[in-house]
Formats: sequence, C-alpha cells, structure tokens
Amino acid sequence: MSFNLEHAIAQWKKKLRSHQGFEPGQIEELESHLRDYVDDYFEHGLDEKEAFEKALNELGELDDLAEDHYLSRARKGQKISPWKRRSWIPSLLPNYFKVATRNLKRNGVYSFINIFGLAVGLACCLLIAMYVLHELKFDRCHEKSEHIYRVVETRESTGGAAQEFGYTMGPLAPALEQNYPGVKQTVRLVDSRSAFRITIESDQHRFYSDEYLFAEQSFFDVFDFNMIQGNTQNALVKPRSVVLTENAAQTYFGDQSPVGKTLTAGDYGEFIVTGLLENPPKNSHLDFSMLLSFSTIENREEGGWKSWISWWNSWGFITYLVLDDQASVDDIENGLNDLIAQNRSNEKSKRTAFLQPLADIHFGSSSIEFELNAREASIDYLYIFSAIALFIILIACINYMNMATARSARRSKEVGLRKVAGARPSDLIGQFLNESILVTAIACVLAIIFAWFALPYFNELADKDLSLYILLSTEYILGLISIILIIGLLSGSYPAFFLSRFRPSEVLKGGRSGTEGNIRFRHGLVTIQFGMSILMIVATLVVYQQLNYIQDKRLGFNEEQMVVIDINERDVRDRFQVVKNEFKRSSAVKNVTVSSRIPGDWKDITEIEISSKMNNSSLSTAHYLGVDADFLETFQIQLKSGRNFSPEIASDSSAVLLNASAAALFGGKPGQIILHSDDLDEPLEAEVIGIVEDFHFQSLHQEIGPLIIGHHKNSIQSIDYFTARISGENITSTIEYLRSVGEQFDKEHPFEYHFLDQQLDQFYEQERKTAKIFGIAALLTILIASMGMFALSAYMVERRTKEIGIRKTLGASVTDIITLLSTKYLKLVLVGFVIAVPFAWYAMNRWLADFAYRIELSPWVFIVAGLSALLIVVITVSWQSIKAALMNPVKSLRSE
Amino acid sequence: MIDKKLTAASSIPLILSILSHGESYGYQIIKNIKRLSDGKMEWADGMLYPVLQRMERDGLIQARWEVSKKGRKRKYYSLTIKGKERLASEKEQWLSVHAIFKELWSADPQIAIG
Repeated sequence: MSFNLEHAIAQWKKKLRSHQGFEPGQIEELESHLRDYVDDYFEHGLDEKEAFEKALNELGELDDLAEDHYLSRARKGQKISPWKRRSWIPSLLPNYFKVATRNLKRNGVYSFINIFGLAVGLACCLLIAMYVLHELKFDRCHEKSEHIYRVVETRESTGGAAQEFGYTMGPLAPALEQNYPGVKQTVRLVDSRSAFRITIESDQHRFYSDEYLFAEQSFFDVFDFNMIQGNTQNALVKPRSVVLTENAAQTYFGDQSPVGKTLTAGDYGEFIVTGLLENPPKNSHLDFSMLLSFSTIENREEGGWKSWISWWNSWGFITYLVLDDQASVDDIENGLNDLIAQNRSNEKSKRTAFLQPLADIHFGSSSIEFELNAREASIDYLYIFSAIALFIILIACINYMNMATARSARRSKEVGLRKVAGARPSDLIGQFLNESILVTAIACVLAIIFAWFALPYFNELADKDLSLYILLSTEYILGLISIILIIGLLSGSYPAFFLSRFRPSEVLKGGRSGTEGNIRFRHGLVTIQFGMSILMIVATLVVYQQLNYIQDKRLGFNEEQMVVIDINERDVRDRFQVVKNEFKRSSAVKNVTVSSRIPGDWKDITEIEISSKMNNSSLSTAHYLGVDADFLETFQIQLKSGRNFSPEIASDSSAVLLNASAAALFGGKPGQIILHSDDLDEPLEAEVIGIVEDFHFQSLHQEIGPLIIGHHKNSIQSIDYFTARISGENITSTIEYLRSVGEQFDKEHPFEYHFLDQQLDQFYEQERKTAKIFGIAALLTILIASMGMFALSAYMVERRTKEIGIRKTLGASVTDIITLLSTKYLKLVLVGFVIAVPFAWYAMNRWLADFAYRIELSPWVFIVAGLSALLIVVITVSWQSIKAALMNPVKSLRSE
Repeated sequence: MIDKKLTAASSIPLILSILSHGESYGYQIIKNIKRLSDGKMEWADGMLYPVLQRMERDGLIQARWEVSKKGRKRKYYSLTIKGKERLASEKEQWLSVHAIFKELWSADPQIAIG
C-alpha cells in the first residue's frame, strides 16, 4: 500500500484531538510545524514516508508533548497531568460522592422511595436466594453424598400401571455388598410404617413415636450426622441400643445427659441410649428423632422378624448404597435385578429395582410411594420463587431508572458544566453509575436489616431454619457485592448513558434538551411495572380462588365434626363392637364406624386388583377400604343403587360395594367380581351388593379412581380406625369422653385422635403457602410500583405547575386538570393489562393443571386485577393531581 | 552539547532575541536556533510551543494566524512592548554574565588570589 501523507497527517491529528492535553489552536500549530519539517526532509531527498516518520520522531512522544502543552496552561503547583497519574480511581471521585450525597439529601422523598424500594426488593431477593440455595444443597451435607444411591423398587402387575416404592427386600443389601465390589457400603433402615408405632417410655414420659428408624451400624459410614456424645464406631452395634437426637433427648430426659440411660420401646423392651446426635438438618430428606439398632430386629423371632429380614419376598427395607467412584450405576442396577430374579420365586407381581441418586430424592420422588422423604418438594416452586424475586427487584430497578431519567432535567446544568469543564462522556457515565451503585449499596445495607427482621416469619412460612449468619461466608459476601454491582449497573446504565449525551450548549441555555425524548422509554417501564403487578394480582386471586374451591368442594362425604381414633391394640380390634357401643352412649356422639383406612390417607390406602367373573384375565387396579355397616351413614356417603352391608346378613362378609367409577369398569352392572391381593390366599369371589356415588377418598390433586369397599371381616385388611361423627357443641368434653372410653379398653397405648377436616387440610399445605407467598409478593410488587408511580407523578406535576396555573387562570376546572394529568397513566395501565393477560392466563393454567379438580379461569379475575391496578394508579396519581389542581394559580405563577 | 538546564534557562531570551529581528513562526525559530548553535543546543521540537504559549499568556509576545502562498496556516509571533522591555533586561543580565566570564577567562583577570 502506498503511503498517503494527507491521510497519515489526518490520522495523527485525530489522535491529538482525542487527547485531553491539547487545545484546538495548538494542534493546528503543530500540524504546520510538522508539514514544514516534512517539506524540509523531502527536499533533502527522503521520500514522503521517511520524511513523515522522521518529523514525528523529532516532535517527541505524544504523551510528553501533551504533558508540556497541558502544564503550560495548568494551575500553578500542578506538576503532573491527569493521564499520567498512576491510579484507576478517577480524580473526581470525592466530588462524585459529595454531589451524590447532596442530591440524595436534597430530594428526600425521591431518595427514600428509591432506596426503600430497592431495599425491599433486595431483602426479598436475599431471603429467596437463601431459600433456593438451601433447597439446592438438600442432602449434600454428607461427605459421600455424590456416591450414595437409594434402591427404588418398581412393581408391575398385569392390569395396572407400574408403581414405584422406596421399600425393598430385606436380603438385597447384604447380597449386593457380597457380590459386587462396586458397592462399597450399604445400610438398611426400617421405619414405623413397617414396624408399627412404638410407645416410648422414659422415667418421666410416655409417648407414641413414629419418628424412629431401625438402622444398621453402617448408617454412620454412609451418612454424616454429627454425634455429640457417644461413638459413631459402635453406637448401633448391639441389640437394644438407641441413639437419640437432641430433640428426643430433651423430650425424654430433659436437660440430663441421656447416654447410658434406658428407654422402653413397646414390645421390643428396654433400650440403652448409646449416643446423642445433633438434630438432622432441615435440608436432609432423612428426618428422625431416634435410631434403634437394626440388630434388635435382625435376630428377633417374635413377630417373625428374623425370617422376614432374610426372605427374598419381604418388603419394607429402605436401602441405601455407597458406590465406588469407578462403579457404573448401570452395571450395579443390572446386578441388582439379576440377584432379585435369581432369588425370588413364585409371586404374582413382577418386582424390579433401580438406583436413585441421593441428590435426586428431594425433588424427584413425586411418583414414589412408601418412602422416607421429609419435606419433599417440587422444583417448580424454586422457579416460582426465583421469578418472584426477579420481578420485585426489577420493579425496584425500574423505579430508580424512571426517577433518575425523569429528574435528569434538574441535573442537566450540572452535566453541561462538567462537560464544559472538560468531562468526557465516559467520565459522566462513570459518575452516574457510581451514584447508582452508592444508592444500591445503601439499599443493600437496609435490605440486610429488613431481612434480619423478616427472617423468623420467612422461616415459619417456608419451614426452614435459615440464618443470616451464612451471609458471613466469603462466597456470600462476594455474591452480595456482585449483586450490588449488577443492580447498580442495571438501574444506573440508562440514566448514565442518557445524561451523558446532553449537549452543554443547549442545556446551559436553559433548553429542555432530551427530557422529552425519554418519555416514551419511561412510559414503557411504567407499563412493564403495571403489567407485572397485574400478573401478581391475578396469580394471588387464582390461587386463593382455587383454595376456596377446594375448601368448599363437596367431597362426596361430610368431613365436618369427624373425629378419627386410631386402633392400636389387638383386643380393641377384636371387640370393636363393644367399644363402638360404649362410644355411642354419649349423646354428643351421633354415629361411629370402623374402617381399615380413612378417606384422606391416600398414600397408604391399599391397592388391589379386580376382574370380572366373566373375564378373569383383564385386571384393573382399585383402591380398597374395609368397613363396617355404619360406614356409609357416618361419612354420609350416598348409595346410588343396591343396598348397604347389613349386620343381619351373614353372607355380606364376602360382599363388596363399588364406587361409581369402579362400577363403570364393569359396564355399570357388575354382579360378581373377583378380588386379587397378595394378602389373600387365593382370589376372592365377591358379590357386589351396592354402588355408591363417587367421593374424594384422595386429595383433589387426584382424580377419583375405582374404589372397592369391602366388609371388615374379609382378610384383605384389618380395621385400624374408629371414626365418630360428633355434635358441634362442647367438643372438648366430647373428646374427653372418647378418651376415657378409649383408655378404658386400651390401657397400654396413649389415646390417639385427629379431626378429619384438619387432616384433609394438610393436602393443601403447599398451596396455602403458595397463596401466602403470592399474596405477600403481590403486595410488595404493588407497593414498590405505586411508590414509583407516586414519585413520578409528583415530579410531573411539579414540572407542570406553571402550565396548570395558566390553565386555571384561563378557566380550566379542577376536574379538567385531574383528567389532564391522569389519563396518560390510565392508558399505560391499560397497555400493561393487555400485555399481562396472556402471560397470566398461561401461567395460571399451568399451575391449575396440577389439580384434577380445579376452577376455570374466569375473565372476572383479570378484570378485577386490572381494575385494582387502575384504582391504585388513580389514587396515587390523583393525590398529586388534586393537590396541583387545587393550588392557587397566583402562587405558582408568581414563583419566578 | 549544551547542558539541558542552560538550554531551558536561555530559551526565553533566545526566542525574544530571534523575534526582535521581526516576526517568525515556530518551525523557523527552531531552525534558526539549531543553525546558530551548530546543533549543539538540543531542542525537542514539541517543547518550543508550550514555551511560546506561556510567553504569549505572560504578554511577552503576540500571535496571529496567516495563510501562506502555498495555503499553509502558520501562527506568527512578534514581540510586544513588554517583550521588548524584557529582552532589554535579559540582554543586560546575559551581558553582565558574559562580561564576568570574559574577564575571568582573559590572560590576566583582575581578581585577588591566594
């Protein structure tokens, strides 16, 4: 490429111009100097390129040259030019801080709204971030957690779908450990559902406990729970050893040291306390209050434990494996199923197993029944929470952006002056970002204080034990600093770039440079805010509506004033009729029935298979309840056709009732059906004597499936509960009466009861929490958004005071002024509404899809949400407008 | 080679002296100094202009832009009255120094020794 002198000189001038050391005339002078030089060298026979380079060389280094020029006009005493100063901190930083704090002070209300809004948003973020991290770290407290797997059993029966269980066979774990070197350790646990509940007695107390686990000694090799007293090497080796958690120790022994003391555990006899554990952390799926040594049951003949544990057809053993780093999960799974196939024989249903990683248990077990999984959660809720946090923080950021740009006119003079004094756009951007980061930092400190106060309530709501002390770790501090920077940059970026573009010549003359151009941007942001608020209102309304729907939905039986009493004693089970009669002697007890299960215990309701007599091979799965003749009347379940069980007819013990769904399987006219169950020696042929209306024996998340109501005398399931319908008055004394009867017949076990409606309510615990969270989030969103709105409208009114004064003197009425000032915002809400509706509709339909029985989204929800947003806008805006409209024009017009 | 400090100290009187013969521009001034000193006085070219500006600000010289026949813009400097006065005083001082050295470096200087 040939050398072009003019081009080279132009390039060189460009460099000079961008350097802050030079002023315009000086560059021209240097240029003419350079050109003279080049001419001279040219005459001496050099070519243009050489001449140019030589001349440049003579002029010296650009920075030195600039420095000489800069210092020639600098103040006295200035020895070094700004670009030579060795520091990344802008020299005006102290000044930026001074101006920023001055501005914050001068605009008290606006600063308060900015900082308060951001602080609330950040506090929400902080709490939710803690929650999310806590959830994501579920079950990670164990050193080997990445190598721990749970055995999950799958059962396929010819008729029904496959079911998954957290229970498996007794001999599986030891066989695996023996045959597969990839399996390093195993532990078997047995929980109360397999071993029944035990009365635990200490010297002072007698409690029922189902919070215990029988655990092998290897429990401490597989999991890391902190032992306070005792030795993890041998605490569970000997039969009749028990390790207590702090909670249990407190319950049974108060403040005394428990180790070495004895506890009686029902039929199992006396146990010696060999260790004290810290309470399991709240993010562990294993939750227990005591560990009993597995060796206690391993060699126990009573109850058939010994043979049960070693039998390959057994069930009820929760099994965890620790795999070697190198081991392939697939290989172990294949080996596992080989072992099962080799050893099991002669069973109707096919049982296979797979391995579930420990980390997947918390979020990934919705299809698994009979498992230990305290605080099982749905990952969807993590997403919902995070989205809410993001919403709130975004709205707070928008407030900041809006306020900063809206008020930019006030600072345009400052920008103009700074520019005239030589500030480059990058300096100004730096200044304004610096300001927004300062505001965010102040908000962050406030947020931590807010979070501090809100944490106990939050913990209660989320059932967590989060503590702000975790904020003291380096990763959180770094996280917090990056949040401050990100939010500061996010909320400061637009105002910064916007303000730095002001033209000094215009703003200093008093023009309204740029302020109109950003109005559309600001309106866009306000629209987004209101769209989000409307979304949150819709979500809250829908969640509450669905909850009400659930509460009011006719379940097909009457769940009010029903007391459920557990049967814990064989003698009571055998003589239930006598106990029933005794219960009924009180006039407050209207009716009593016995049943194997209660509508509401859905996970534990037995499932059996049924077929018609004609077509024995086609099996269907159905739930099963064993009841007596008073069941339908006590629960107030409607009989659709046929008749109820009758105590007079002896053949009824092998008869059954079907619900309408089950009857539909047989074309509505079942006649006789055949029941298949592992608990029956051979399939049972049963006469269908009646059909009842469908009722919700499971939660409303499930559709009503086929249900067989059998007689309590057949051997599929023994009776386990009394259910009494009592009168609504004097409930306490009625309960006392029931207690006295119960204790009269069962002297050994504590009296146990609960109210059916309360039990049913527990199905919707998660939904109630969601409703609360949505409610709070919606409130905060609206609060922050309307605070922003308030400030923005106040500012607008302030800018238009004169205009309003003139309009009033020309005859505008107060209503005219209010309309003038509010219509624009109403339009924005309308646009926000239109944008929010499809999102809200989609999101809420997805949420409702989780319920088999659900409300339909009515347009009213959206209308109400839109109207309330509108109302909020009207209130916030008109407050300002009315103030402005009522002002005496003389005052506003005189003020100059 | 002439010492840097001496170069710096003499820059203002040098420029004043050159301009006392008529107006001139930066490049010409440097060329003259280089020629007169036979290249012994080292002037970084860029250094001249800040000095000129300072002198202009102090009112010793005045400047005007002129476009040459070739179309080149040049900034011409000339002495002000203040500059002329300053030159006179500088001249007196430098001549005094010169007289001292002349006497000292003569064959028989008038000084008391020993």
